[in-house]
Amino acid sequence: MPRLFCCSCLVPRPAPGMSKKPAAQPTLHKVIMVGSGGVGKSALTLQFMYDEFVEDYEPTKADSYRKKVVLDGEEVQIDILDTAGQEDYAAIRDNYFRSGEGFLCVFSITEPESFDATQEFREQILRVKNDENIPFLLVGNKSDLADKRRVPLDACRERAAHWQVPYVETSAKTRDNVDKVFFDLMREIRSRKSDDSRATNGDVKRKKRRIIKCAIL
Amino acid sequence: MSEVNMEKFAVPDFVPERYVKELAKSCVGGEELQQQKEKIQSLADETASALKKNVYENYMQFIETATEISHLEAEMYKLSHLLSEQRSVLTTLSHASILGNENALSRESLENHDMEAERVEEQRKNKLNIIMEKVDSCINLLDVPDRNLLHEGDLLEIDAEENTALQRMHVYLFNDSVMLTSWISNRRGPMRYKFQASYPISTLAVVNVRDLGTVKQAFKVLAFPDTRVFQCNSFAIKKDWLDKFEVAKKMYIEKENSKQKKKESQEKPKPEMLESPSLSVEEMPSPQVPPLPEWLADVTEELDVLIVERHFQKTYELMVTAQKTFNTDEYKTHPQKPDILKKIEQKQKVLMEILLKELDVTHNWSPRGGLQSTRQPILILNKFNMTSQACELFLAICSHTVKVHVKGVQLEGSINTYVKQVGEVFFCSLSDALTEFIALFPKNKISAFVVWASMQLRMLMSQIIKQVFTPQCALDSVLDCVQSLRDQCTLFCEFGLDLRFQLNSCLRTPIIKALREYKEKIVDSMKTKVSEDKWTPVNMHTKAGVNKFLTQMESLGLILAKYIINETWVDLSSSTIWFAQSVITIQKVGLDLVTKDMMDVLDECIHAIFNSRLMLSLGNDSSYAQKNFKFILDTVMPLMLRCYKESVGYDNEKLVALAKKFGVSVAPPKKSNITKYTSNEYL
Repeated sequence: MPRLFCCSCLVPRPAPGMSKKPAAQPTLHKVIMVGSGGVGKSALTLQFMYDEFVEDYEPTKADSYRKKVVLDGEEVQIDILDTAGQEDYAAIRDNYFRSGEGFLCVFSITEPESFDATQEFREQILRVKNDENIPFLLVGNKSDLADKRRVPLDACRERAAHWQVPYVETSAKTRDNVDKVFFDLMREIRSRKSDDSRATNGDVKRKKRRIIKCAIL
Repeated sequence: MSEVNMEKFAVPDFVPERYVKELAKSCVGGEELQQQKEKIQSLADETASALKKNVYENYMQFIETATEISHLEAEMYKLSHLLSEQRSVLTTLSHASILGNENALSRESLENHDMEAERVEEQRKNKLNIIMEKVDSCINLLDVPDRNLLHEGDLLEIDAEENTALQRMHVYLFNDSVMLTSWISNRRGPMRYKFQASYPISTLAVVNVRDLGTVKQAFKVLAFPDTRVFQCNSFAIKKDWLDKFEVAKKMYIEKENSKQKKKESQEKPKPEMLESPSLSVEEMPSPQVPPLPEWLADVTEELDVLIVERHFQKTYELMVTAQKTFNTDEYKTHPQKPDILKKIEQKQKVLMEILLKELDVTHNWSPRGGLQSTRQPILILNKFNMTSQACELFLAICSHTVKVHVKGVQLEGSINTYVKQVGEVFFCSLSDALTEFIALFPKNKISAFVVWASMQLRMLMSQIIKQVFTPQCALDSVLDCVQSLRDQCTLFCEFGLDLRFQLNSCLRTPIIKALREYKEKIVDSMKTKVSEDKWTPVNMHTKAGVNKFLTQMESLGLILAKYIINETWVDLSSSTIWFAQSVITIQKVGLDLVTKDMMDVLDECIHAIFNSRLMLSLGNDSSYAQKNFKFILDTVMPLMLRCYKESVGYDNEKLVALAKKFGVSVAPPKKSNITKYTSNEYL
């Protein structure tokens, strides 16, 4: 009989506040791909996930992927939500954005319209997340098509600087910078999370916040 | 010596050792102890048998209670079904009447697609009501005017973080929201799922999960702040869900867009919009037409109410009077006439459907109400010229009741009592059905009943035959069963339907088979019996045994008093006695069992048995065997010939020929019946 009691003790109890059990999955970072239709959001995602470049274009509705990766020596999980570029209704898009912790805002350097659209996406994300410092990368894709470039690099950099976000040029085709954008974003998300958890633990956050705010100002 | 009784054992602090000690002390000598032991033994036996009896009685009571409970349960389900049906009808009615008031003015313009829309609306509500019945603590699904079910199905919820299975879910997708319900594992009653959450479509984002480690065919529903992951059983199911979500989303967007447009358009042309209905109101009234009396104008509503309240007879009457009134000169050309008549026609259809459903034995029909409960619906259906359908359904109900009644008879005790009871129950049910049928249906339908009754009889007989005509069943108990069935059938003739021919034709083949098998059996065992016979008289040991033997033979028609020697000996060999018994029995029973058309089979059997016996005697020369042979020829043979003639009225030609062959003089029957008794008495 005592053995039985022992067993019941071993049953993991859901402890409030302790979201991770010993055997739990690694930390999950939720990344959302946004941008106009056809700029290569899915191509970037698939290249990152499976090292494949998909030539055929098929509009995405909303697909999610999950992968375990090693981020600076720590095993983490990345959850990528690949959204539809052609979503015709902004209100629906809000629902996707709410679940994201970081955003890759993608445009094609061969398509000025897609670059223009990033402005709208940025505004929508800030509105939905209600957070100026949400982890965010501006990504100019299709860097392999340099001869067809129609969005000047300066304009891209200027916009990124204006938003105070990093700007990276990628090529889903050649895999150039593909890992970089995802890992950079995850690092931002991670640091954001540790800030937040520290903030909830004490008033460290206040200082930090103030510092950040000062920096922005 | 202490008295042995129950009280001593029943005391709570009874110790067997002490009791035995006391007993041993008080008893003197072994004999007394023996007596005590016997007493205790008998007490134990009594208790055991009482216990057995009690157990049996309790068991029977338990079974009865259980069946009663299951009946009650069925009734309750039926009731709850009826109630829920009525509730849905009531909600539609209340809704319809509100609309009705609004539409009263412009009804003419709306009438056509009004009906269609109403029907669709009703269906929609029924669907939602059914869902609400299934889901425990469900939200009110009817609160949103045009909520529609787009899709539903079972899904497995996956923990969004851990990728492990969480619970089985049943998900309903409406055009405006999605409702998540979990399975109730130990469900009772109609509730199957428990309500968990409902999200409006406008706050939802659905994500196709392309890659989630080991979890395949999953999709996510993002409803901030919740993220719920569901796994489907197959790719097709998942695709279905995603498509349906897409549809819901599109519908929502369209609705939003049209709302926007409406808002824009409403702001400007409002004055115009107001004008148009006022115009139609002015056009509508027609002063030259007399207004309909109130009851006639509201006739459709009234019909609805009557149907819901299950006053079917009144419903019918109201329909007829309304139709008649519209045919009078006064209202012949009334503008509302075609409209209302059409509606009445629709109600008529509804009524007929309900009535047919009432009579449908496969549709929750309960035998408790008895056949009388079918009267009303059938009479009304008859008036609608639906006699054939009603008749068919009525007979189906009758079949059902017959089946239930026959099933109710328990196979206890001998097969004879069982068959007798089954026969009684069956023919009683038939007669009930017949009287009801005659009361309900016109004369020209009676043929349907005759066909049905003979079919039922055939079905019953095929069952009984399987049970009665088995090798284990003796010929005379077969006769008993057949006889009781025939008696019942003859009694049933008094109701005006003679089923005896059908009964006998069902029995013909098995009877012939049974006779032939019996014959084979006798011929076979006769051979061994004759060859093993010691050819000596048989000792009956006691006087009572002798008497018993004599009465037995007497009942077969043989008076054997003169064959008794030395008080207890019968001066016949054992095989001879056995033969006489067997052959006389088969003739006696056979004559009662067969119908005229089977006489030749019986003749053949008797002849075959007799012939093979006589052939066996030819080779045996011992004097005692010859004496027995003589007895068979001189006593048994004439007796059988005589009995045969007495019962049928003519000679058994085959046996007569056999008798002549063996030199028996076939004397005309002697009137020896009377002497039989005297001889028996003085013995």
